[in-house]
Amino acid sequence: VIIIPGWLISLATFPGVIVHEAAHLFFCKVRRVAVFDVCYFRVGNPAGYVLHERPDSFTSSFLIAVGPFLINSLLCVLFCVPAFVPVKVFNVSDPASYFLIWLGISIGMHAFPSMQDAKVLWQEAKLAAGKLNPLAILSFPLVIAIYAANLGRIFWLDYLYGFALGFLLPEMLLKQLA
Amino acid sequence: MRQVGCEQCGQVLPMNEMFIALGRSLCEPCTEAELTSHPEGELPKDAVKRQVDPTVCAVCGEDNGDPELRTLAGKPVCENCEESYRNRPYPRWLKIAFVTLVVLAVASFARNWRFLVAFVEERQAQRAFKEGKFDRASDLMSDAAAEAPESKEIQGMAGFYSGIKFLVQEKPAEAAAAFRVAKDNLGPVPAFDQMLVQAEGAAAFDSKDYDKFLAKMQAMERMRPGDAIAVAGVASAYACKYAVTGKEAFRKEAEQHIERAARIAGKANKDFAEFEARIRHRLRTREILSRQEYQRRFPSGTDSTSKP
Repeated sequence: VIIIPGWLISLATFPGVIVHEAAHLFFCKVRRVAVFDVCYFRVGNPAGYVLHERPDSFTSSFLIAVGPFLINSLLCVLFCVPAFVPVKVFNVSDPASYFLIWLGISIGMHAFPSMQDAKVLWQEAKLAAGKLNPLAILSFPLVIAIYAANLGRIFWLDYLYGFALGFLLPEMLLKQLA
Repeated sequence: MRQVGCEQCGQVLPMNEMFIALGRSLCEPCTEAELTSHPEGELPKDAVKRQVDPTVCAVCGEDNGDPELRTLAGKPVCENCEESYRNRPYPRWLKIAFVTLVVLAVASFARNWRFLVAFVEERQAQRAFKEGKFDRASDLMSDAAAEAPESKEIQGMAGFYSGIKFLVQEKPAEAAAAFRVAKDNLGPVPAFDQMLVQAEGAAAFDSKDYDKFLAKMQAMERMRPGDAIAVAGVASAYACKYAVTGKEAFRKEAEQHIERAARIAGKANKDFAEFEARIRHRLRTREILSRQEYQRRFPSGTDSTSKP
């Protein structure tokens, strides 16, 4: 396992941090949750954050916590699909394609909700599950998966996820289409 | 805006300028006096707090008159300020960056579309090739090569597929040219080299260049020394030389190679049996027939006059 400082990884993949925070903000706006402060990127821990009021429904908490996973994953695929075929399949050296692959994988790497997101979701899920909210009950395994994914960052799981999403998934889909 | 009177001095002031000090509603000077009258360390933590006017926006200070405002994080806020918190705008730089990147992604899609098409055609060509549809495989791979001329691999595979197609169509000269394209682009691949030599040999046979035909068949034998057909190919070339020159040495070489090929092939090899019959017919009659012509004349596969 190669240990690289978190701030350096964040710096090298800063678009992913920005998209992650922008996705939190997007779902706050969609669910009309008041946001008091936003930091899209900084060299520090955390590399970015969104400070918002406590949502009044579990659905809002869920979307705000998990939203970046959906948005980052989607954008990762969007940016990588047009670039991976010339680079990976045809070995064509194309700077624009390399840029898009870096961008896509950077965004994909920051798809996982953070430990803080998981903590908030866990607390809210416990409260909502007491009221038999089905989404909250279904969220427990998801929160465990988020914790596991965050632990997996030590083993570059976040990078592997971005790589798989940006490189392997489009190839698999195209092969199915062909 | 609400007004509140100081319980100490009786002064009436806006509520936001008043404090609750030790449970009493006081103005700022009276609050300070009240607090300083107590020794330090004796005061509880929540001894003093500012009063909040629920009719005045805590963010912009707008006076809402008598009705109380809604609260956000415990503070009264007007509609405009609440809206700005609930629908916080994205910064301009982020919007511009996002639009730029989406435009870049779309442009990249448009620019690299031909690679996606080539990828799909390549996959379809491979499938057609596996199904034995060599014409379709060759056409698809050629289309893919036209879409992605930068890819040496696709150019090479297009050459290879074309070569196979031409071989099936009995056009060895075209097949040889196509295999050369494959070799130039893919480098030395033993299977492709053999196909090239086979095609060049067949092309030499068609053009009646039997010296070259012999050289190619000998090259093929060196590549596949344990293959009866490759060894018989040399016999075929010597048989051609004998047919043209009548020199006994060529006939002997042909016979020796037939013997060797027969030992390798065994008795159940039908391809070799057909090939052997054709070579022996050539040695016996000194007439050089192509495979098609031989099959036309002798549909049963053997020249009946060759039977003992």
